[in-house]
Amino acid sequence: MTHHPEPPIGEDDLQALVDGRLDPARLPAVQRYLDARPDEAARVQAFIAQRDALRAALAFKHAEPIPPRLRIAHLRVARRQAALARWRVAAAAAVLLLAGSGLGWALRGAVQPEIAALPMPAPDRSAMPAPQDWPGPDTDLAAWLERRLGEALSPPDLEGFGFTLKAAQVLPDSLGPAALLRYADAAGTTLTVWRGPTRDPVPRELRCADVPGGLVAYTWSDGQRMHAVTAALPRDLLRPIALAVERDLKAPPPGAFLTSRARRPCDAALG
Amino acid sequence: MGTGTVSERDARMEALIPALRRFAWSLSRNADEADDLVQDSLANALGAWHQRHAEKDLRAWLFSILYNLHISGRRRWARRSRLLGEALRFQDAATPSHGQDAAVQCAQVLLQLDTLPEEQRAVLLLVGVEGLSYEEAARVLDIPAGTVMSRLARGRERLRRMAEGQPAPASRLRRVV
Repeated sequence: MTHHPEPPIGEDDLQALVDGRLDPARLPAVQRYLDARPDEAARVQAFIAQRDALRAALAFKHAEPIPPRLRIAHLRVARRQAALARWRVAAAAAVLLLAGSGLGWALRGAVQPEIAALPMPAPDRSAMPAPQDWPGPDTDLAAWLERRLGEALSPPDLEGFGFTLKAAQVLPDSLGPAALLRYADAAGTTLTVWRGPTRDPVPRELRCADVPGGLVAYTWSDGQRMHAVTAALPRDLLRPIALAVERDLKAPPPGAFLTSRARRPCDAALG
Repeated sequence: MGTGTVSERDARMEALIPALRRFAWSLSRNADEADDLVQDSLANALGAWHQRHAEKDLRAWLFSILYNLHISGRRRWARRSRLLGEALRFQDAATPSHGQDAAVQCAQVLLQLDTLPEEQRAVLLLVGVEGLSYEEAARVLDIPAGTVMSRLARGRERLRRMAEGQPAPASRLRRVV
């Protein structure tokens, strides 16, 4: 019936026949082919028998009741508990880092001579950059941050929540520089936004952790950087701010994607 | 985020658990290990839900997470060589395939399956048992659809020859890809 020459029968036709996935238009041709070749027909029959034997051998597993530990609800609870424990640690670490860097910065003059006198291996000290303070509104903060972080970070605008940007720091971290932005409102409440590299490659959704001392921290991760918004504010007041910060920081500035994906000279050689 | 509410999504995921357990069990051949694999896969999927393209098939996605976990965990164990030995012994003992009862045949086909290279085995299971399309299987294994076809053909031919007590094929087949 066909006006075009049929392509020759191939192994893919026979496999598709076994799997019931053969194009119906192709079926007559395959059938004629097998009718003329009993050996091939037997081979296809053997494949079908083999497939059925495999299905039969494994059917019991599919029919088994699901063990309770595989229920999604159960897995969700386990995930929440694990994540909460993780974030408690992370948020506490962020606050400690914050407190520690502030303290260290305040005491830098007093403590430095003693540190210098300690017999520490030289490479460790030189590899550890000092924290850097943003000079102030005369310097464009986004550009200042980008130069030091190696990537764009446009400071979230929190004026709508009554918070004004007061200070910014770039802090050294073992994985790379981290940024700390400090905001304050009219009542003198301080709020910080922290962003730093993380080893944990799994993105984490926004989570809240109460930190001892009345601080509340909202933290999240995009799989490359961890973020924390911390303030001595009730959860219901801090949450919308954290959501706004998350939204602001999520959207990459135009062109960032292209420049970060620019091919380096050895990419081509590596294929 | 995918479409639908969390509970709908959970229900769709849970409906696939029997198939995931079967696939995991046929790969690991150990009940506890298989359920560990399924549990880890589901936990990973819950954590990475936003990475799933909304329109892509949930089943293929879950199977691919499971298969990748299996592969990464499996390299630590030289389990295959042990099973290979068992299967060859079994084959010596039970060459004539006529008149076997069904249980023996089932046990035999599983042992023979174990002698296949990992990638052929996975294709046979995904396509033959789990009923995935060639495109879905290709997505699960992250290989071209043509490669799925050639692995399927080679795996099936090898099992057939094993069942008939013939020596391993010297690639009589035309290469599909």
